[in-house]
Amino acid sequence: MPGILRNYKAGSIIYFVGDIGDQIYILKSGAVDLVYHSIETGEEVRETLKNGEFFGVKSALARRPREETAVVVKDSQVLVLTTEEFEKLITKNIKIITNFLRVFSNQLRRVGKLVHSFLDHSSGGDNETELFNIGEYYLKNHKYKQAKYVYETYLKHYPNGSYAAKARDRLEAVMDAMDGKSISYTDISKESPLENNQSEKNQEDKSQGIGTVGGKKTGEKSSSKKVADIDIDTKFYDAVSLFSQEKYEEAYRLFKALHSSSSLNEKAQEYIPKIEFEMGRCLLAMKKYKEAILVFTNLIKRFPKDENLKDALFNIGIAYKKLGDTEKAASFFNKVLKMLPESPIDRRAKKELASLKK
Amino acid sequence: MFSKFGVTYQPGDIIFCEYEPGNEFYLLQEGRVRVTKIVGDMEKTLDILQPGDIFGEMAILENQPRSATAVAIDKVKVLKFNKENFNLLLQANPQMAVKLLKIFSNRIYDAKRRLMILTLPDVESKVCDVFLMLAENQGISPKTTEPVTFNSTVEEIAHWCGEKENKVKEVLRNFANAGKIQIFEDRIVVKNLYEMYRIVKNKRKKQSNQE
Repeated sequence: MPGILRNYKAGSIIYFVGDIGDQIYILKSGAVDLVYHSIETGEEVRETLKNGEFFGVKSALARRPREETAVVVKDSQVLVLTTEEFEKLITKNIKIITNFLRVFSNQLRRVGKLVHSFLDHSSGGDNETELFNIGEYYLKNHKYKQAKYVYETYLKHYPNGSYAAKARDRLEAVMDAMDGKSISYTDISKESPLENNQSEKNQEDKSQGIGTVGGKKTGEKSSSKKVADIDIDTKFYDAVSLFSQEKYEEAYRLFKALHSSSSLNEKAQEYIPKIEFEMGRCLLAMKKYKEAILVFTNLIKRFPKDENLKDALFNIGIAYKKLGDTEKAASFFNKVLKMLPESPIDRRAKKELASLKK
Repeated sequence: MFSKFGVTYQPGDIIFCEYEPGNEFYLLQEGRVRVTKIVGDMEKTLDILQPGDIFGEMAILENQPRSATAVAIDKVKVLKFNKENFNLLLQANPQMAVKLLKIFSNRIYDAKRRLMILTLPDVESKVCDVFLMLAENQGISPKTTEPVTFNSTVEEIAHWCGEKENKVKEVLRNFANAGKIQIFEDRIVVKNLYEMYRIVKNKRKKQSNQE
C-alpha cells in the first residue's frame, strides 16, 4: 500500500477545522475523534472513528477547508496518502469507490432534504406547473425548438395534466412556427443571404453571453428582453416579406405562431394588433373570407383605437363582397367613409361602393 | 460502449430540461453542453461542459426532477447511464467514478453552505450571508473592506435566501438607503463586505447561545 505511516501522540491534532490540505488519512490503530459543530443546532458533535476508516476524504477531493478537527484520543498509527495516491488506490478497488459513493450520496441526500425543508414554505408552483412554465418561457422568447421539447416532455409525463390541453395547443403553434421559419429562411436567404445569417449569429452570441448564477463566473450581461425584441421584429418582417412574395399560407402560419408567443411576452404586446391585422389579410388572400371577417371583427373589438381600424373595416367589406353579401359589404364601406380621420382607404371604399351599385 | 449507451444530439437540442423527471446521468464524450436555469425572466448559463464532464448525476440519488436544463452547443455525443447499468460503467471506467466522487464532495460543501444561509433567523442576515457566499465562490475574502461587485439580480439573491422577492427587495433597499450597497440594473456593489461578515457572525453566535 502506498503512503506514509505516521505516529500521533494522544491529545495531538491531525488537522483543524478550516485547514486546507490535500492529504487523506486511514486510521490503522489507536483512537481518533472528529469534532465539529452541527449546522442545524450549532452544537458540538464528536464522532469516533473505527480502525481502518478513511478521514479527510471529502475536503481533500473537493479542495475545500476541513469541516472538522481530527483529535487523537489514544496514541495512534495513521496512514497518510496524497489525493493522487488515494485516486490510484481506489481505481484498483471498485468496492471502495462504491462504498464512498454510497456514503457521499447519503450525506448529500440528507443535506438536500434539510435545504428543501427550509424552502418548502416559500417555493413556487409544483413540478408540473414549473415544467409547463419552462415551455412558456421558451415560446415567449421565440425559441421554438426548445419550446417544442418542453411541451412534448410535459405531455409525455403529464398526458392528463392540468395544462395538457394548453400544451397541445402550444405545440401546434410551435410546429407551425418551425415550418414557417425554415421556409422563410431558405426563401429570404436567396434575397439577402448575408443579412439574414448575421442576425441569426448575433442572437446565438447574445444568448451565450448571458451571465451566471452564483457569481462563479462573470460573463457579458445582455438583456434577454432586448434579444426577444429584435427577434419578434425580424420574425414579423420575415412574415410580411413572405406575404409580399404571395406565400400567403406560410405567412399566415408564421403570423399565427408569432401571435401565440407574443401574447405571453409583455414587450411584444404592441405587436398583437399588427399581427392580427396581417393574419386577416392573409386569410383574405387565401380566400378564407369567413375566417378573415372573424379575425378583423375581433381585432376591432379588442383594439377599437388601432391605427389599422379603417383598413380592417374596409377588408371586412371586401370579404362580404366576395361572399356575395352586397348589403353587408356596402354597410362596411359606408362605415369607412363616415369615420375620421380621412385616409387613402376612403377613395377605395368609394370605388367599391360605386361598383356594388352597378 | 457507445453502441450500447451512446446518444447523439444536434446543436440546440435539449438533452433534458429543468423540472423534467428523469433518472439517467450522462458522460459527455464529444462537443460542449450548456447548463442553464431560468431565473425570473432570464435564462442564465450556469456552466459550459466539456468532453469528459459528467452531468445529470443527481438523478442517481433521488427522484427529484432536473434542477437545470442541458442544451447541446455543438454536435454532442454522450453516454447515458442509469442505476441499473451504473456498475458496468464503474468497472469499465473507474476514473469516472473518481470524478463522480469529487463532484459529490463539492456538492455536499455547496449544499451545506446553502443550509448555513437558510438557518439564519432573519432576511437581513440571510442577504448578508448570500453576499459572503458569492464572494467565497469568486475567491474573495469575506473580510475585505474594499467595494465588491456582484453580477447578481434580486431574483438570484432571493433564490439563495429562500425568501420572497419583495422581502429581499425591501432589505436591499434599506441597505442602499443606508449607503451599504449600490444597486444597478445588472449588478450590486457591496461597499464593505466585512461589515456583513460581522452581522452574520453575531447572528450565528446569538443563535448558538440560545440553544
